[in-house]
Order: sequence, then C-alpha cells, then structure tokens
Amino acid sequence: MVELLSTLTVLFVAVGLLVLVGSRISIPLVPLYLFAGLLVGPFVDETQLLELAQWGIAFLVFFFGVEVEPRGLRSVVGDGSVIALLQVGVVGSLGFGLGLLFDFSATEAVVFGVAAGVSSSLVGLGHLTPQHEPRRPYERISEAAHFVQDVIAVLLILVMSAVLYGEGSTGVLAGIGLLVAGVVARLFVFDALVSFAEGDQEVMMLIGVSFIIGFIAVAEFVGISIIVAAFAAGIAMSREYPHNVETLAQLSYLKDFFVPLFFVTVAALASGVSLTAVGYAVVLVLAAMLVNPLVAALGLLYRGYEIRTASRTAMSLNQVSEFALFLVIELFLLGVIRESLFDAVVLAAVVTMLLASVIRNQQDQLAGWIASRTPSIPSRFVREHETPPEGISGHVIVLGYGTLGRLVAERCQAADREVVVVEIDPARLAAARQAESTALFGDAMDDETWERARVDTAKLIISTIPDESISRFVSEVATGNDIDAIVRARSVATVTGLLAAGALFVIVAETLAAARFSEVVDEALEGDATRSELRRRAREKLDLVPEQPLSSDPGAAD
Amino acid sequence: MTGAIAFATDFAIVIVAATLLAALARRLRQPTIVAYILTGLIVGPVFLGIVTEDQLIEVLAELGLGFLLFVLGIEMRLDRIREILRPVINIAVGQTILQTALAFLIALALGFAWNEVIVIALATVFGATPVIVKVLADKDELDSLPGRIDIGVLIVQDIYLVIILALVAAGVPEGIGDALSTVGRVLALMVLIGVAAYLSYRFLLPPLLHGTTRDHEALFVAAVAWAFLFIYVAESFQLTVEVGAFLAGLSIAQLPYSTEIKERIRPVTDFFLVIFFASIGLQLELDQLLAHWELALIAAAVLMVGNFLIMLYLIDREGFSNETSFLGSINMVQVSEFSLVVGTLAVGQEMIGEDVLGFLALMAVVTMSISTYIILFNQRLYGPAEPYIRRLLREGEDVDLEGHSDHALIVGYRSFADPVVDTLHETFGEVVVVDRNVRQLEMLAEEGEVSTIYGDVTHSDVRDEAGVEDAAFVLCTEVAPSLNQQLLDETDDDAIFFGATQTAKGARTLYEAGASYVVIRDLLAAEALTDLVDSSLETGVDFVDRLSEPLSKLGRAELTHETASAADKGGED
Repeated sequence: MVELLSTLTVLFVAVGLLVLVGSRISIPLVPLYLFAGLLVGPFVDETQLLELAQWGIAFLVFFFGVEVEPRGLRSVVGDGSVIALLQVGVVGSLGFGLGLLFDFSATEAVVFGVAAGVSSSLVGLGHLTPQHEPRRPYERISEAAHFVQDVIAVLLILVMSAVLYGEGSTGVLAGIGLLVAGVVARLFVFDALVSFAEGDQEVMMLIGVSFIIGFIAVAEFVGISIIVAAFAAGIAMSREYPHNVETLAQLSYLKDFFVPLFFVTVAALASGVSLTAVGYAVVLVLAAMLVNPLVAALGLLYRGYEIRTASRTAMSLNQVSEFALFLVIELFLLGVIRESLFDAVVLAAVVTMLLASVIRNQQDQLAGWIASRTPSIPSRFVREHETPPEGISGHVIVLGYGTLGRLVAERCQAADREVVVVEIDPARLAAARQAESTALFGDAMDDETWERARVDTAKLIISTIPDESISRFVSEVATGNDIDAIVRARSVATVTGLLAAGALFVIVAETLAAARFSEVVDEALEGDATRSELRRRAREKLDLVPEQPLSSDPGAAD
Repeated sequence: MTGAIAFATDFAIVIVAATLLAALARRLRQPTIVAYILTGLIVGPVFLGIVTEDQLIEVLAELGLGFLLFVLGIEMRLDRIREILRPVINIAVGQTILQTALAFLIALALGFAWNEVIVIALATVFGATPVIVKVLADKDELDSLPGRIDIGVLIVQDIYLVIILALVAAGVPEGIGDALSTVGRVLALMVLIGVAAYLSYRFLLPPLLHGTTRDHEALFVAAVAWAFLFIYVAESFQLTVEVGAFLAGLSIAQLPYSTEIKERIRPVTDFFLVIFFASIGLQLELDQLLAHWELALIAAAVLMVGNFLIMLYLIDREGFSNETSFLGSINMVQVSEFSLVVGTLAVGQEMIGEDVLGFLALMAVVTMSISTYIILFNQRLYGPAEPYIRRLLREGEDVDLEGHSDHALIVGYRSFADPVVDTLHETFGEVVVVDRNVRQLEMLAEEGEVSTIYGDVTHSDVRDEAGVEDAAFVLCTEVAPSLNQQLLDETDDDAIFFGATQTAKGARTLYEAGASYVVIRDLLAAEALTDLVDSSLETGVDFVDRLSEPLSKLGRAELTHETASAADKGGED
C-alpha cells in the first residue's frame, strides 16, 4: 500500500476512535483531533500530510469568510467588538511583553501574544448552529466578539506575512486588494458563474473549490498568506442565494474531510515536548483561561451589564484560537519560530479547548455561583426615574419581554392592569420602554430587582424565561410574598417540581402551542373556505410578532 | 504564508481545468465524467503536458474510487428493490453472461490477443451507474419501474465488479489451477469480511455510533474512519481498496442514518473522482488513445445494439410490459467507466498494454456521450419503436410499486404536533415523519401510527423517499426559511402546506408563496397563555378551574418530555 494511504488510514482510525469516545461525553471535535495527532504523531511521517493539511486551513478560513454576511454586518458596532479589541489589545500586549521577557524574537513574541489573546470561534461558538438565532445577550456579544477577533487575526496574518516575505507595504496592499476582489466577486462574478453552471450541484461545488484555488494562486504569486486568500474566497461566495445553500453544504462536507487532517497534522508535528514547552504552555493556558475572560468580564461590567451575562460571555472567550495554530505551523516550517514555542501553542490549544468545553457544560452553575459571590454593581441600564411609583399595587410583574412576554404585557394593559416589565437584555428593554411600559433592568435572581419592582404589593408574576433555576426562584419569591406566579419551563419533567415550589401554573411553550395548533389544523382540514379564512386571520395577527429576529446589538440600547 | 508548504499546484491545475470542462460539458448535456477524462488528456502528456501524475494525485484517485464503492455499498438498501428482487437477479445474471459472451466474440473478431480479449470481455459488461443515476434522477425517473430495474441490476453488477477487481488485482494467473484458487481465495476472504461487516452492523455499530447521531460531523468522521479500517484490512489480505470500501459501505447500509452518511460522503467522493478520471487521462498518450480508434467505434456500435437487445430479451422474459422492457434496456446501452477501472488495474498488472486501455477509454467516452442523449429522450424514442417492439416481445404486466402518495408529511417533529397526528391519520390514512433525532423517531414508531424516515430533508434523496411531491398535507416544523421555501416549492399546488417561522417577515414571505398557514410557535403559546391570564385577572376561582385542563395536558406530554426539552431550544427566551 502506498505509504500516504496507510498514514491516512492510521490517522482516520485514530480520529474515529477518539470521536466515538468523545461524542458520548460531548467534547467538541477540534481538541479531539489535536489529541489524536499528539497520540499518533510519533508513529507516522506527518510531512506527507502537509499538502492535504493546507486544504484544511483553506477550507476552514474559507468558511470564516462565508460567515461575514450573516454574522459580520450586525456585529461590527457595539459591545462585542469593544470586548474583542480589549482582549486582543490587553492580553495580546501582555503576551507580547512576556514573550520579549522570555527572550523571544519579535515575531515569536507576536505569536505568543496572538495565542494568548485571540479566542477560538470554532470551539467557543461551536454549539451555535447557523439556524440558531443567538437570543440571550451573552450569546450575541460572544458571537460578535469572536467574529471581530477572527477578522483581526486575518488582518494580523496579512501584515505578518507581508513583512516576513519582504513584500512589506505592497504585500499589505495586495492583501487588501484581494479582500476587495472578494467583495466584488460576491456582488458580480458569482451570479454569472451560477448561471454558467446552470445550477448543477457537482459543477457548483467544483466552482467553489476553484474559487478558493484561484484566490490562493493569486496570493502565492503576490507573496501573501493563503489565509487571506481563502478568507477573500469565502467573502466571494457568502451571498445568500438559492443555489448557494446546497453548494456551501457540499463544500462544508469537503471541509469536514480536510479539517481533521489539518489539526491532526499540526499536533503530530508537535512531537517531543520539552520542559520549556510545557512552561510556555502553562503561561498561555493561564493567560487564555484566566486573564482573558477576566478582561472580558471587567469590560462588560464597565459597560453596564450584570454579572451573569458578563461571566457567561467571558466563559466563551477562553480558548487558544485555531488561527494561532495556522500561524505557528507556517512559521515553524519556515524556521522562524522555535520548536518549544510551536509545541507550547499546540499543547495550550488542546488543554484550553478541552477545559473550555467542560466549563461550558457547567456555565449556568458557574455563572450563578459567581453572581452570588459578587456584590451588585450599579448598571448604566438602570434608570432611577423609571422605578414604579410608590403607591403602586395590584400590578402584574412580567419577566422577560420576548414574543410571549410582550403579548402578555399588552393583554394585561388592555385589561386595565398595571404592568411592570423586568428585563436583562438591553435590546428588549429598549423595546419595552418604547411600548410605554414601565420597564426595569435587572437580574431576576437578585432580590434587589424584586424590591425595585415592588413585588410586595403585586398581584401576579408571570415569568416567560425558560430557565428552570429562574422559574424556581420566582416561585419561591411569589410564595414568600403570598402572591401567584406563572412560571416557564423548557421541559415537562420539571413541572411538578415547580408546582411544588409554589407556582400556580407552568408554561411549557410546546404544550400550550399544541392545544392551539390542534384547533388550527382542524379548521384547515374543514375545507377551502375555512382555510382561506384561517389564512386571512393569521396574516392579520402578524403585527403582534417581531418583524425580524431581535438581534440588534445590546450596546445600542441607549 | 506562501513558501513554507507548496500548495499542491499540479492538483490545483487539474481541479480548475476540470471545473471549466465540466461546466462546458453540462451546457452540452454531456456527462461530467467525459469532461474529467478529457481534462486528464488535455493537461497531461497527450496535449499540454503541464501535469504529471504524482503520489498525491495517485492516492487521491484511489481514494476517489474507494469512496465511490463505499457509497455504492451504502446504497444497497434492499428495501428499495425488494419487490422486484428475483426478476432483477435473473436479469443481472443473464445479462452478465450474455454480454460477456458478446464482448468476447467482438474482441476476438476484431483481432485482439487472448489476454486482451479476456480483459475486454470482463471489463465492458458494466452499466455506467453515475450516468444512469444522474440522468434518470434529473428526469425524475429513478423511482419508476424501469428505473428501479436498472438500479437493481447495477447493484448486483457492483458485487460482480468487486469480485472482478479483486481477481484482476491478484495478477495474471499461472494456469487454470492458480486462477481457480485465486477466485476461491478472493471469494472466501470476501465472505469472511462480509460476515464481519454484518456482525458489526448488528452488534457493534449501533451502540458505537449512538452518541454521534446528534453530531453530524462526528458521524461523518466515524464513517470515514470505518471505511479506512476496512480498506486497511482488505489491503492486508491483498484484496483491493475498493473491495474493503464496498464491504464497509455494506455494513452501514441498513442503519437508519445511512442516507445521512451517504449524502455527506458524496461531495468528497465526487471531488476525488474528478482526480480519478483525470488521472486516467493523465496516464494515456495520444497514440495509445487513437491506436485502435476504428475498432473502438465498431465495437461501440455493435455493443450498444447488442446490449440493448440482450436486456430487452431478459426483461421481457420476466414478464414486464413492453414499455418497461424498452425503457429499462435503452438506459443501459453504454460501456461504463468501470471498464476503465478494470482496464487501469489490468495495465498495472501488465495483463494488457496501454493501447487497449486507450481502446476501452474511447469506447467508454463515445458510448457514454451518445447514451446520455438516448436516456434523455428515452420516452420519445419509445413512440416510433413501439410497433416493432410489440412484434418482438410478449405482452407482460408491471408490478405495483410501493411509495408514499396522498399522505400527510411532517418534516421535523416537535411536540406541539402531538395532538394533530391522530387527526392527520384519520384524514389522510398515512402519516410520514422525517426527522434527524433517532430516539424521537423510535418513540413515534413505537406508538405505531406513523412511518418514520431518518434523514436531512435538504437532501433530495430524503425528499424523494418522503414523497414530498405526492403528499396531500405537509407540515414543516423547522423554522429555517430556506427549508420552508424549498419544501413549499416542491409541494403539490393542491396540497395543504403548513410552514413555520419565528418572525413576521418570514411568515409574510411564506404566505405570499402560497402557504396555507404559518406556525409561529410562540404566538400560539402566547395566545393560549393570554387566555389563561384573562381568566386569572377576572376571577380567581375560575382561573384555578380553567387550569385543570392545560395541567392535565402537561401530564400527557410526559411521553414526549425528552423531545420537548430538545424542541424548545429553538424558541424564545
């Protein structure tokens, strides 16, 4: 058997085994690939895999570029980018400084800084699928921060490659030119290609790959990194277009083949790990998992978020990024950085990614624990003059202002009941205030919030937040104040517990919707006439629903 | 970074050239395979000479073939052809014997040497699966009776192909005894590995893969690893890469998520196949290609007519109607690319020279190009041919095929659809549910009322299986706009379509496109909730009473509690 084939076999089997084990304990795939590489590294000749590994980088970065359209444009303004810049700036500089202290060259120190300051969006956002609209504030900020960091990483790599290959400013200009070409291609060229291919899937996939190759060829010719090229190619194909969806799906399956190869190859190259390497790795891990999140959390607190959101966001930004791995493999093979640094970054990546996933599985508890140990910090979203008037009584406190909360609040107001809305998401808070409700910014788990909402004189609490710990807390608050509470749960399993804790009723959205839905279907099946009537009424009701997903940046709340 | 790792330039050139030619081929309605072989010819030694075959290309080419056979193994879904299994086997066996004999005679008549004759006879018997599947799929005839007969025959041929490949790979036999023992060894080993494959399917794979079914990337990687494992084992026993991959595919074929795996491996397979076919072109020299061009054309013509008549006779013999016999045979008149696979192997084993490979290549290219048009116009050809056919054949009758039609289809199952299943069952008779949650489907299947399909409904295979076009009622509970749009487009205009979304804008788009109703789950929940709140604010006593009914519904929902927790993830905070 050709040696390359047997190497591939060994690699994939190792990866396969680890994946089977890891998927049972929900560890993300990337650290598993790295781990596989560390394991089989001593037994295979990984240099044969370098060409294939490059395709892994190309595809990965290509897909980052594709995401520019859906994620990028709403992320650029707001708190997410502030946090991202803060992290890269502060922790990156810290890393750079430490690197110089360790007697690294300037390039090596920059690499050290990047490894410390930039977080991994593959692992940090891995649980968010493209269809899953980030709903909670921490999810939105986190997504924005990751995206901005990825872009910063690409630009950094552009500059570094231009400098290292001696092209200097011409190189940087060429790189920017390539990115612009990507945008132009997206607007004009792509449509032409689709019609040329007459929508045939096989050809479209090949066109996608050829795009990537084409951009990379230009980059190589000009003397800049292929990463910039792949990113530009991704931008070129990022338009939401009927045929795009299937083509990108197919390309993503191609990516799924090459990506493990890349990570395994990188890790396989990091063979004999020296004590120095471990030392550097420890520093990186501390920087990425302690300092980085701390900076993010502090930044968010300063911007006025409460501790729960701040800590959850911080916990998603605590890994060494795959961009650091892209950097080190290239520079190591060029001989520009030392082996111990290369090994250290790989090690740090494996450790941080694994630990980060463990933390993510526990993030609710951790955030709660942190919140309970820290004092309340006054937030800029709180408006003193908006607390409910002193003598208010018999009001309904509505927790959460999503579709459910808003409709409930409106119905209560229509029935001439006073409503006090409590929200933790600045965007929804703004919506509530626009609708002329009394709206308070506050964490539901904080007694102080309930005091401000005058819970002692309220008649009813309705919590529309599908978080079991919040629902339980609310039930207890209600019992303590001898009033009724309707709370919400994600699953029917917790209903009895919540009822026992004192809730009057538990909302399980699926079940409530089910009864209604059954009526709708019965109507639809009755006949054509009733169906048209049903349609007409349904269209009228659309005014009650949000036009767009509520994803305006939290930072724009004021 | 640039110079550190040379970005595989030869490889890149092949891909880009292949893209251009493939796009061109598509415009001319030609099969892309022809374009790929031409790519190899053009960039390789025959014309431009800018690319030579290096190790990377060689390995990727072999992987392409391996994955193709892996996919073919997975496609051995016996339930697809179960109703016509016996006739199909008869036809396939008869066709193999008769076509091999025909090819044998032709090659002999054209003056080839004995070893060449044997290889040619063995190689040219296979129908071109990619061509037939592609064109028929485009015409929506895959599920028709002639389509299924052809697919069935192709499947049986694949088994035969795998055996032939193993034999050829074993090299030139030293005598009859040696040849027989090779055949015996190959068959024994295949059976051995086949048994291992079956045992893994029954006992090993389901628990192993259980954790991965939620994470599709993990499933893909695990499947690829599985294929590689079998490839390694096969190679160690001196069976080929292809045999190993095929058996690996077989072991996965009957699992519920095999369609999912197949869809994900397909792009990788297609991609590597480009390299494979290009590499065939890369290996040839122009003089080899044209060495026997007149002979190739003659052989092509004779084989096409001969194969057609053989298939016609065989299908008719099984008692199918004239139209079915005609269509089933006319789709299979080409010499497939597998002849090139066998040929390449034979060249490697020095059984034949490259000129014969060129002969095979020319035949394949010519017959595949012509047959693409024939398949495209197969129905129209039947008209003028019908009177002659009637005189030749017996009148037969067609089997009724299973399929879903006029049914209710639920795409993605959410628990708010629970109360509705019974109603749909009463009204439409059959309820089909497509979902990607294996446990959900198992629970539904247990309740007995629904037929379940595991798969991603964005894949055309899955949509075909679910019968989207024939459904009378379609409920899509997933909120992705592109998915709703796609389903709405494919649903029959007279059918009732219920879509789902989370925003007003999404709902308006769907209504304008013709949806009967758009489910906004949170709106429905909110309406139910506000009714309750209304009561509560009016009189406290009534509210408690009014609660008893929804509370009891919460109890009933206990059955699907696990899915509700998974289902609410897409909702609001």
